Parts: sequence; C-alpha cells; structure tokens
Amino acid sequence: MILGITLTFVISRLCLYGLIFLAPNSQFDTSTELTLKKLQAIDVDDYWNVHFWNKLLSWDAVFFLKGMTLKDGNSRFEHELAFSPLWASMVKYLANTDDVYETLKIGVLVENILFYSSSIVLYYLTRVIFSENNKKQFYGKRLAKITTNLFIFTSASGFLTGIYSEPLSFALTFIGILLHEKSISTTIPNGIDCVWSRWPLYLLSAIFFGLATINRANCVLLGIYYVVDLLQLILERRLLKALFFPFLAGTTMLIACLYQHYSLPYRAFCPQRGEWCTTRLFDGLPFTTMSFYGFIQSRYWNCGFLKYWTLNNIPNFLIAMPNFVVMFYSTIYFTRIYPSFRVRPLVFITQALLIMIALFAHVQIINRISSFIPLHLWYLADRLLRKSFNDQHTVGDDKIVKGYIYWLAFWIPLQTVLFACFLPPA
Amino acid sequence: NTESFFLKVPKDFPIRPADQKDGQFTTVISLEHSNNAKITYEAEIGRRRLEFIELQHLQVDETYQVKICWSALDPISIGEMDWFIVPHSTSFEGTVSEGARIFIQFAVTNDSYPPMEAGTVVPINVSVINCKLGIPVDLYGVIIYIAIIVASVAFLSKKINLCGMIRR
Repeated sequence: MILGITLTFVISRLCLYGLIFLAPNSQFDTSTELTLKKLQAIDVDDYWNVHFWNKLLSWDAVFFLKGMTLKDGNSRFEHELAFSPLWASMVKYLANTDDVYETLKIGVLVENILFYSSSIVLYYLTRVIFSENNKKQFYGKRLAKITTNLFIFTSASGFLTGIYSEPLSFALTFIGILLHEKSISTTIPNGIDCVWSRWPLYLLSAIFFGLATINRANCVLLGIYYVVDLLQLILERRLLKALFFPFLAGTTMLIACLYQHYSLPYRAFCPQRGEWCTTRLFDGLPFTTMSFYGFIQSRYWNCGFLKYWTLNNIPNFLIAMPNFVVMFYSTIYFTRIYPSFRVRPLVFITQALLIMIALFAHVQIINRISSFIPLHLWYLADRLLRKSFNDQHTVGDDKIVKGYIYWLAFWIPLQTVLFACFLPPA
Repeated sequence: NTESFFLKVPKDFPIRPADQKDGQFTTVISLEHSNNAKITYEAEIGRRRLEFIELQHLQVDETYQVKICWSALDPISIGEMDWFIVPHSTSFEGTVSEGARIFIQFAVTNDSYPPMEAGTVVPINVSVINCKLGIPVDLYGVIIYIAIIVASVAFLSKKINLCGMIRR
C-alpha cells in the first residue's frame, strides 16, 4: 500500500515539476530577479536556475525564502510575521547555509517530504476513523487509499511544488487528529470517552495543533475538537475528565495561539507601533481587540468582513467555487445523509472555515489552505466507493464528485503553470 | 508585486524624425526595433513625490501595457500611475525636446512598519509591452503553453476514466 502511495506521489510530483521546467522562462511579474539580487544569490543565470528554480519563487515564496535566508533570524517588517517564522526557521536550520539556491533546494525537499508524510499519516488516520469494526476493515482500507490519492492531487498542488508552509500544517494537523482519535474511545449511542491511560496522547494532540496554528493561523479552528469534547463531557457530568482532557489541551493550544498572535508581536512592536497596540483590552496584558495576524491581514492585504465582495473579484469566487461546493456538501453528507459522530468536530471546523473564508479572506485561497481538513476528501472517497457510483451516468451527489475530479484534472496543471509564470490567482 | 496600466498612443501623435535630438531626459524606455522593453529603475524612498520615465519609439495608434514590478522584499506601494504627452519645445523636469514626448508617472511610497529609511533605494522593473489583439505580446508564450496543456488534459480525460483511476 505504501508503495502505491509513494508511486502515485512521485509520479504526480514529476509531472508538475516537468510542467514548471517547460513553462516559459519570462514571468509576468518580473521581480524575481530583483528578489534574488537583494538576497545576494549567486549564479542566477545558471541553466537550471533560469529554467527551474527561479520559477518556484513566485508570490508568497519570496517571503518564505527571505525568512529562510535571514542572517539574524528576525523579521524586519511587521507584515513578514504572516509568513510562518516557524517554517522558515525550520528550513533555515536544516539548510544551514548562506547560499540562496541551496536553501531553496532544501526547502523544496522538506516541502515534498512533509507532503508525502502527510499522505501516509492521512492514510492511517482514515483507517482509524472508518474501520470501527472488523466488518468495516476492508471498507476503511479502500477508503483510505482513495482519500490518500485525492490528497496527493489536492487543489493546492501547484503551490506545494515550492516552499509554502501548508505541508507543515497538513502533517501537524493529521498527526494531531490521529493522536486525538487514538486517545479516545467511542461510547454508545453517539459519544466519546477519554481514556486515562491515553491522556499523554490527548495532550500531545494539542501540542501538534498548537504548532500547526503557529505555522498557519487558520489551524486555530482545530481547537473546535476540544470545545466539542469539553461540551460532551460536561453534559455527561464527567467533570474531572473534562478538566484534564479537553480543557487542559484546549488551554495549551490557546496559550500557543496567544503567544504567537498577541504576546510575541506586542513585545516586538509596542507601544511605539501605535495603531494595533492602542487597541489593548487590559492594562499590563498584551491582548488587543484583534489578533496581530488579523491586523496585518487587514492592513496590508485588505482582508476583512465582506471587503473581498466586489464585482472585480467575481472570477476569484468562481475559482473558489468547486472547493466551496464540495466542502459544504461534505458537511451535509456527514451530518444528514450518513451521520458520523466521529467526524463531528471536523464538520464544525469545515463550516467555520467556509464562513471565515467566504466573509473575511481572499476567497481563492480556499484552494490552497483547505486540505488540512480531510472531511471533503472522505466525502469524495466515500461516494467514489459506493456501488451506485456510475461514471457514465452520474446523478445527484455523484455529479458533484465527478465534476470536482475533472475540475482538479484541469486546475492542478493550470495552477502549477500560473504559479511558475508568476500569474494570478495567488 | 505588479501594478500595470494601458496607454494608447494617439493616431495624430507626431512621429519623431530620425535626425531629431533627444530631450536629454535621463530615464528612458526605448522600443526601437522591439515590441517590448524593460528597465530597472532605482527609486529613492521619500526623495520625489512622483517618478517619471520617458517612453521612446512607440508606434502611433498602438496600445501598450506599462508594467511596474518590484520585489515583495521591498515593502512599498505604487500609486498615481498615469501617462501624459509633453508637447514639442516644452520644458519638463528641466529638459526640452524638439518633438512631442510621452511620459509615464508613478509614485513610490513606503508601506511598512517600521518604515524604510528615507533615501533607501528600491529597484523597480518597469516594462512597456506592445499589445496585439488586446493581449500584451509577452503573454503569448504563456497563453499558448496553457492552451496546449488544457487541450492535452481534455484529450486525456476523454481517453482515461479519471474517477475509475482514483478508485483503483
């Protein structure tokens, strides 16, 4: 099975890197040469650099590369904190060189290793969740295989050829969910029980979720896992467990989040920064009305409530539509059609992510960031497994599934080429 | 980062005679024998309100895309982008030309915290590209490449059962 996943992964990556290599060398945005000059890169005009490596430095990759090659390790400007210092430091540490291209190559290698590792973890995670009993073992195995295939062909594939921080979040999230699932047992009719002997695993899941949140702010939604568990345990009056499991884990995650998005930037920029600093809620504590991440998103990228809802952004909404539809359907599927209480937290997380992206963010980023939630992949995989699925005459849900897969077939190479040519959408 | 705008050279814009002297304006993009050109312009933060570049050898009745690109490592904003014609024998920024001239303008402003120091030099790539059929000519290669890929995927998806492949 691992061999099959590995083969699919390697072939898909080779195809995308081949597309990048064959893409025209002249990019729409001509600033890569300026970036490389600023970073004092050598051999910029080398054949492989011109035909391949330079094309991986589009859009946010510039910020990540800067973070990975910083001499003193500190961001100079506040908006640079939006580009995972954790991920940049990790690659910087592993690369351990001042050479820009060496760092880039190590970054791409680590990106692929993380993406591949995430696929493997997702395979086992799917089996754990969908193989509740021996009867379902075979089903779980097949579902896991299809889910992993779909994950390898994620709608973020093009961006994941470079040095983006998403694969780190995928890996941390999937490991976190796996640890969470391993630390609980299911109860009849629809509940969970936290097992004392597996308490360390439960707490460890919070550390992984916390790291995922430090890496990418959208992973803060994973905290919903602990809210759901906490509410259930409180309702069942198992207060000690509620305190030592979800409350403690949730608090651990919250502390990581508060440190990254409030305390750290407050110490770096306040009070001389003004603006964000002046919105402090309590004297002596670095808590402001808005997180620092939210502030810089609003200040530099014009993110905010309905700010993206303009006529010129209609194409971006259309680009985001397939993922919106499939993710929305997956929440309906696992609550109304085939309810599964084990994936209930992921249903809430998916719903929260959809609302957040639709109302507050640049909607097209859903194609890049959504794969840290596997719910829609399970929905697609489950539909594909059903006997009723007929590739020739699709009806109902299966039409959506088929449409989405065919959209991916066009979107992934297109996104890869657009990225390599430094063309929108980002 | 990129900002761009289009300009259309008027039909009646006087063509510069070959022997006519240049206006000695220092920053120039020339499209002589070419349909696109690029220079790296060095803007100094806080030094000038507007930056000007003269465009030479444009063709009358042709549309051009002016593209301004800068590295995201330099946290600046580009605004007040425009183009204008300076009539012949008219002084502009201390230079005079016998012929009419076309200039583009843009403003470079700091957009960061902490702000960059005044006088920091920010390199900016300014390109001028001729548009044919409403498309800048430098995009033709990309468009053809994308068209080939889309056609290939369409062909393959007709031959291969994608859903079946994923299921297997």
